[in-house]
Amino acid sequence: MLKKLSSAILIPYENQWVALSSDRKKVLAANKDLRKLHKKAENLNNKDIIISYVPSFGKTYSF
Amino acid sequence: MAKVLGYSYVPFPLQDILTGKILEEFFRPMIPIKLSHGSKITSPLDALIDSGSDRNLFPAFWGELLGLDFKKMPVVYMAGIGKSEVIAYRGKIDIWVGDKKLETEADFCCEQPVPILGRKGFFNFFKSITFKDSERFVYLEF
Repeated sequence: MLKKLSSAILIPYENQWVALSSDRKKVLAANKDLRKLHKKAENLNNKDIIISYVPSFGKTYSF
Repeated sequence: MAKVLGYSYVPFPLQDILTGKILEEFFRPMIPIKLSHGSKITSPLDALIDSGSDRNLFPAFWGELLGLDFKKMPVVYMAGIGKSEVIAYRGKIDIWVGDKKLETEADFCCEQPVPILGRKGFFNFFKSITFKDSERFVYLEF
């Protein structure tokens, strides 16, 4: 069954790195520095995470 | 026998630049992948499937974490919008999509925050990659 994803959980984390739960429903850790976020994520002792970058909301992108 | 993996696009907030209000969601074809090199492997990380990108491009941090020595890697120049170029370092890595391991290479640079999966080094491993914008799904066929 497909789960509907929402971007609302990302609103507090603009321009930050986040560690998401594997179902993308929760932000488990966040930081503006990827190194620091990665350390935080390691301390979660949870392998079922996804590390993602939350780009600025006021821009569209051509990466 | 063909194997097809489907991934939902990932929604991101999109803001009205005049009012600052969050107006809508912008859906991007991002998938969780892992990177590995030798015995080292990363956590799952979101990467953008970008049919307009020539090659894979990742933040330098992930290369450092895999133990890549940038000083020993070829320097390449990446260009995108406008006239500016950035320096990247090219190395051999593995990309994991689900349980499928792609023995490939990627460029690493300090200026790129979003991992990008490009045509050479990612798309060429698949029989097809189909973007279904009406469904907000991307399908990868091996």
